[in-house]
Amino acid sequence: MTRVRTLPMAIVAVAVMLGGVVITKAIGYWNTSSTKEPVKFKEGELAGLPNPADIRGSYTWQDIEKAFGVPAVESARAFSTADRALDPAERVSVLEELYLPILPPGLEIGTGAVRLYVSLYTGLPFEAEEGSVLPSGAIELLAGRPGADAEALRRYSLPGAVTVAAPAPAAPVPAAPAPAAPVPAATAPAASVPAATSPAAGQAGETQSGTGSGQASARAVVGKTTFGDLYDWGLSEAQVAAVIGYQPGPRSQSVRDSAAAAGKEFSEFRTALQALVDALP
Amino acid sequence: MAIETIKAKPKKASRWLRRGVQIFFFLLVALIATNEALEERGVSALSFVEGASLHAICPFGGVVSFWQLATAGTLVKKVHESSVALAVIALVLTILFGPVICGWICPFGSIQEWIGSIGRKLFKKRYNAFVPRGLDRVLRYLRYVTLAWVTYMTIVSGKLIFQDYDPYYALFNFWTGEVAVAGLVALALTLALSLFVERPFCKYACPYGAFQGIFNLFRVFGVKRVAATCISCKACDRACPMIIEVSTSGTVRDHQCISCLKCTSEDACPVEATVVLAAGKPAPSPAAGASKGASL
Repeated sequence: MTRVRTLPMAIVAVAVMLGGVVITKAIGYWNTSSTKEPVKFKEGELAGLPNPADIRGSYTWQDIEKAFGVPAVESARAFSTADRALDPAERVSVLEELYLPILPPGLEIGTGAVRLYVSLYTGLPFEAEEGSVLPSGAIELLAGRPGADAEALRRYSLPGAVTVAAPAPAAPVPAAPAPAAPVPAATAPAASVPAATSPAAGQAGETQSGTGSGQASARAVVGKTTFGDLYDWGLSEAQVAAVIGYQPGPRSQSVRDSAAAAGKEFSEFRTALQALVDALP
Repeated sequence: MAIETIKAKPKKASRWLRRGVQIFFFLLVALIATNEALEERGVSALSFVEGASLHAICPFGGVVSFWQLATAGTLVKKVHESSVALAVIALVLTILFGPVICGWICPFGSIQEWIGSIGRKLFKKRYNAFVPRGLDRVLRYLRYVTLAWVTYMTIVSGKLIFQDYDPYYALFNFWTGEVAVAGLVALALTLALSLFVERPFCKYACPYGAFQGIFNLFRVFGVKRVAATCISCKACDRACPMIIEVSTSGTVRDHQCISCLKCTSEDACPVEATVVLAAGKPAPSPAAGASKGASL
């Protein structure tokens, strides 16, 4: 019988834990934060471009500028409140706490709003979360950009805060620095922000078409859509599997959660699923 | 003879060794998590320690990320490679010595234990005996329900689903405004219950403790009772925070053992080399044990 007394046990416990950390650091595996490099779209014409959906609360405005070419100083200013001027080196996670006391219930300006802002600024697609709105500073900045999506800006404005006029074609364009990855022209059409859910409408399942038509659909594929919904609408499991590229989860699982669990982005196949649904009688 | 042994044994040292390790890891985790939260707010007050989110230094994140890591090669949101590394390191310790993480390292287990020492003084023998044994035995399997639910939901959603309910996360982040109400309630409830029951969260709800507990069934070094020298005084039973009947065991295989070594001959057991942490079969007699056994 090989006995271990308390002192060796204490030494082993501390040594294995700390030694293990030292070893994993030495081999370069120890990492306690995200890389601040958003995942890239994998397929289609956007393949290789950074995905706004991967912006995390730990990103600073400077990280966002580096990844997406959205100027940090202007962005921080656009999201500042009357009481608090944001620093470009500050994490965007502070927004939620900052705006929570100011906003009406059900509306939110947090990391989701930053993703939306970057999406509207760059033209990269992103499905906004329900309740996400943009502060008036951000709306004004975006409205000044050529080709701004007036409909989307109206949709994401705080109720009664700002009236967004159609953008003037000759409006001054902020000079975006060269992004780390190529980003589509800032003059992306409104269609480049598909499936954005209206916070004002606030009704599950109601989405904008992404073409600016604003037509609500009872069979819209949105974040909350489950596999069960898709089957109920008439799609087969095989059809869904063919689009998403893996075996669908249980009926109660949302397609977006399933995509996240599979390490994919919902936006990668949302349009294709919607097309299948739209083709149904 | 046995009474003489009791008086002769220096028990305080082993007790304080474990407490020292617990305090060290509690302070380390508190400093790391606090520094991270301060840095998020632009304050560099604890620059002598590297900041990291609590998720990044919790091995359970690595456990629940396993499926996503294996199938998609990615980690659950908020979980980083450090969690996976810690999960592997903890697994090595657990396979060898059982849930050492629970008994020696986990800061949340430690704080429950420290509050419990107040409860022990307040309620004396009634402490840790408020829950009827029958009910207690059933409730102890609740943590496997928690483990199954957390694992399933994390796989399905790709998110750290337990964060909103996790009292451990709430303990080190309650002041940041990032803790869900459910987490704060779980924290308050756990700390309050710790006055009556030893380690209530570990016993009834901790999913990582449940995972670790499985390894008690086949760990290399187990808590063993040498029947030949046991005087059946049941001091080991009374000392066990998890209310395991060590006095009737050969090798403790109870899924709730946390390898705290309170029951051993270095602490509660009054007879030398009778309840020990060891690998291999106990020697047939004390004399044979002395001649054949190895000791670390």
